[in-house]
Amino acid sequence: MLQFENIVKGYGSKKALNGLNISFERGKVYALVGPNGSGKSTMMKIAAGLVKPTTGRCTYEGVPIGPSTKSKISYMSTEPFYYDYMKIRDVEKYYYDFYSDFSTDKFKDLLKFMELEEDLKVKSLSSGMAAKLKIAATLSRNAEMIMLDEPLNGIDLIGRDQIINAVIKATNPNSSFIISSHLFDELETIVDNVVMIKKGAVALEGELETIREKHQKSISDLYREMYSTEDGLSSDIWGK
Amino acid sequence: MKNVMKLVKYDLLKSKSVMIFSFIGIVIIEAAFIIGQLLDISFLSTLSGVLLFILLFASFFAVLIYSIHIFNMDLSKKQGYLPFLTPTSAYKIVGAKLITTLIITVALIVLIILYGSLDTYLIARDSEPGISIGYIFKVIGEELDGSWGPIGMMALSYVSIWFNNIVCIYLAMALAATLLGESKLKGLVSFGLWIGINAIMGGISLLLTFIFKSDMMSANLDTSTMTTGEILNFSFNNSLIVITIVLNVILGVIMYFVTGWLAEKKLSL
Repeated sequence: MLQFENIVKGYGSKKALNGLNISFERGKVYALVGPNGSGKSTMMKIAAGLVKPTTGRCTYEGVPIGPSTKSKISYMSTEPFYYDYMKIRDVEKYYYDFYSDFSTDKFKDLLKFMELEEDLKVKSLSSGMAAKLKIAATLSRNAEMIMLDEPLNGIDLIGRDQIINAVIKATNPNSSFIISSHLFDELETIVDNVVMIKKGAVALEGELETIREKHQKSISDLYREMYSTEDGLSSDIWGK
Repeated sequence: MKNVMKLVKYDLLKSKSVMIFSFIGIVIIEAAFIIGQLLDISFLSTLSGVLLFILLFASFFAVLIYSIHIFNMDLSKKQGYLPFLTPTSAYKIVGAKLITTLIITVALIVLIILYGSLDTYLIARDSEPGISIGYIFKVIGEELDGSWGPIGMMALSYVSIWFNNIVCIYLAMALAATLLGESKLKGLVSFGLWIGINAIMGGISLLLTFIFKSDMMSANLDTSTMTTGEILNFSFNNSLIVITIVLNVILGVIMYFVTGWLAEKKLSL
């Protein structure tokens, strides 16, 4: 469905992605985990068409990322990106104007669920409220692929529950979800696959249960082990 | 095309505060001029008249800066995610910005014509009471009779030069954001590119002027017996104007496609 083939993305002498190879399948919920700077956001931005890889190929259902794939992929960036003049209802109009899969009813329901008023100015929202708005807009598209970059970043506990519940409500067999986080614990309840990124490449991937059984460890313990050692992974994990 | 017009709508909405503020400023100064004329307060009408003249023509530079600003915001700020995430090609996103600039330029020209007519009428009314706006237009029409074609062509050539310049700036900005993105001298190089293209265009225009030099220069005419329209007709060299327009359009289209290609294939936000 969504495929990354030998993706390298360099920023000057630094490589954000270094030979990334992975594919994401339909109907699954993926946790994309790794510490800050591991390449998660760059990977998502390449799939969303915002960043171009230095070398390699990214395709969605065999089609190179471009205008046609953008109509099927709904992406939420971790940074705020709405225009300053916008009120929440202007965000709704914008999405309605450009995305044929956008559901106004779904958006209104999500706003209600997130306790957001349509009259509020985007610029005046707190970081938590702004994150909820981005999530509401992204999840209101009936897209085949939904990518949420650090959706729980800077959100209080109540807000986290609201966002996790909203994601659970939005999951369906026709859509895939990729949710990134530098903390795995918060995603454990909603995902069925895990992709661990380290230094711009896939360090570990697979079904949650399979990985747990294979390594006889919780994902959080594996995460700690992987990212706390200097070279990343202990040999038993590399030999997956 | 539907998405292009939607992008134009949002580019205009983004800057509605600045535009409303500028429009109110111009209206207030025009109102001061009208009050000065009607109440015969010469200080007020002179000051507002000069201010209005400066403001309206400075607006063209403001439009140029605005045009650069809207593209720069999309290239360098996170708000660029909004258009570039939509299922719209970069060619259309760049095109929408050019259309937005065109709409504002046309609105500005209409405003200048409206205020120019009204102010001319108010000034003429002082020296010739009972004069109407219709009469003023009739006199201008008679003076320029037969030369509307060359005037239209001349206006078109200025518009083509104006837009060519904006597209050239867009190309320089796209280059700075893509191929030169990691160079410390990207700003300088892209500025140099803009100067270079303009210098080439200027050189070609000068060469053409030399080749197609106006008959007016060699003819021994008595212009005192000619109407303004006849003088204009004689002094405009249509071949030169047509070549200028064609050259600008060709170069503008090439630069537009290169800009679109860079934004589509190379741009990382």
